[in-house]
Amino acid sequence: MAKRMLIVTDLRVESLNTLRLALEHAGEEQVEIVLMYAETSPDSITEMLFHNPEYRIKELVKPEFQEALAILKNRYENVIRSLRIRLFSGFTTNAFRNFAEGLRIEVVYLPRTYQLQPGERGFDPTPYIKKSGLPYHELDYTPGANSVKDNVLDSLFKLDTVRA
Amino acid sequence: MKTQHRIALLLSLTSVFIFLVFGGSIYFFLDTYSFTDFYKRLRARATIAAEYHLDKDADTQTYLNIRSKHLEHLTNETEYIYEIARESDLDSVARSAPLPLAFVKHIYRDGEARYHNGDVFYSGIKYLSQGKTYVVVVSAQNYYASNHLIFIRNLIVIGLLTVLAVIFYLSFYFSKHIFDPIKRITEKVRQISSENIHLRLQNEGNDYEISQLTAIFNGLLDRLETAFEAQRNFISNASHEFGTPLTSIMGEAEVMLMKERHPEEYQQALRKILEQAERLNQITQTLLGLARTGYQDKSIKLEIVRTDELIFQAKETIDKLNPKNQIQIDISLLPQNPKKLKVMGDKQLLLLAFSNILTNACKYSQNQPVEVSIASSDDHVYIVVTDKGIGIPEADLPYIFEPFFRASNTLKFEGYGIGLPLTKTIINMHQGQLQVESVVNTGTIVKVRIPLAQIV
Repeated sequence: MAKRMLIVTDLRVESLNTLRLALEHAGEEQVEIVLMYAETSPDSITEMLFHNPEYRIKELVKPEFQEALAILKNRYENVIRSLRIRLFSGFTTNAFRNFAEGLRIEVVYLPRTYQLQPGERGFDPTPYIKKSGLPYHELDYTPGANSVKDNVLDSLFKLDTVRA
Repeated sequence: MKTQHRIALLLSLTSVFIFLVFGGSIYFFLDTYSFTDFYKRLRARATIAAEYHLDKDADTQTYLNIRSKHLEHLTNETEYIYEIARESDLDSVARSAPLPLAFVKHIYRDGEARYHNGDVFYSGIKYLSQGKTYVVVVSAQNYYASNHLIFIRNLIVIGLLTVLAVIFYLSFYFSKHIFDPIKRITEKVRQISSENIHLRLQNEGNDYEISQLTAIFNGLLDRLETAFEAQRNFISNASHEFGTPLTSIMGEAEVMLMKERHPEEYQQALRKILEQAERLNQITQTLLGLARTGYQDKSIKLEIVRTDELIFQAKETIDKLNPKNQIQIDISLLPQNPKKLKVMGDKQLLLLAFSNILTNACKYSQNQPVEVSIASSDDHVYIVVTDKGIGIPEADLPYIFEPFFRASNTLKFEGYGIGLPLTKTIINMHQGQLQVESVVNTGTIVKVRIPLAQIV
């Protein structure tokens, strides 16, 4: 039985290091991965009317992120059973608990030092996750130790990591 | 034909068509409707006339009262009542009254008929009373058809003409002004030549498409300007590169020829001259290589090559030449499926490209650790080389792929400035991309991206 893990991301390449370390942490075990991006739902009526989380994710995900994700998928081809990105737009611990229960999440991985930089309507869901009672691991990596620019693919490549 | 006129014409012709159909159908349907309606009214009057003239028990006076009170008097309303005993009577009826024979026959046969002659309309019925057969016809001028319809027709025609004039004017006006910014851009671009390539287009803030176009034009001009400058620099750089060894050859020879010397001195001088000539030869060879890769795109042999093997081979080559190098190959992101590392390429050329990048990284960082990472997504292999060397000044970055260009901080290092352009050409030949990011005194990151081979 594959382990369902939830990874918190801000849809930037750097945050994928959480996923990378989580996969290292999981070792040889088969995993099913849910990447979670937290964003408040739109507040205008027309936007709400045409709100579709899947389209919204497609809109938010940049090509570099896609490429970086593909690199990790190829690297851990044997352990990743499935990988998907989900939008979370709740404001309470209970909302997160329901979200996680619906996806049958077993464990959550969070970045410890890396500060999530969510987009326009995004927010950092870490407090809800910590209070939800789900088992979680915090992974430590120093962001952009060498990186010249932000949000580029190579932030995946060099890490001064302290393995969790 | 200008696009502007084409748009205007298209726009106005479409509107003309739509308005013609609109006006025409209004007229047509009104016309039909007024006919039907008028015939119905005449038929009702014929029935009434027949009843009060022919029915003996009818109260004639009441009929007349009602009629004069409630029925509108139609223009030239006339009633014709004929008794028909035999069918041959129809002929005499047609002769005595201004009615065509066919119409009267039609009434007799079918019980009722309608007919019009100009704007005079006839509606007739066959009426049976006290065993006798009558033909009752009422005729009147269709005032509505003759007056209202003409009025409406004129109204539609005048309206149509006015609307068309407005549409033509507007289409031509808009199509002219829509192209205004483009005309301005054309005018401005025409002014820019190789002499004043520093000129840029003004951004028109309010128009998304146009400002995009200007931005793209400006970007293009930026790149062109860089290329122009590089072209100018190429000659001076090349002359300098060829000039230095030549000057020292000439100087050495002149000094030797000034007076009689010992054979050892001649030998030493000749060795120096040989050294310089060798350097010249090397430059020429690399230049030739560059020219060849630049022009003979189609002649390279493509085979399936594993990029990770190439990197290891390149490292081995460098190990032999420069044993002090500290190249570390990072395979932590290496894909598990080796298919994802195979590209279509010329093995020798790619090897040359990778060794160039690695040699540069070692050279300009004085053998500090150099990290090479290999990773691959679903369509590309990524090779990222990171060094902690002297970096490239930001002002020099746009020129690093120009032959003979050397960054301003590389004076201490030997080199001709041909390696990177050659590498770039090779990567381009493989439909790949070469990107260099750098911070002075911090390090340089060289990123190579090559499309994966399509292996079925």
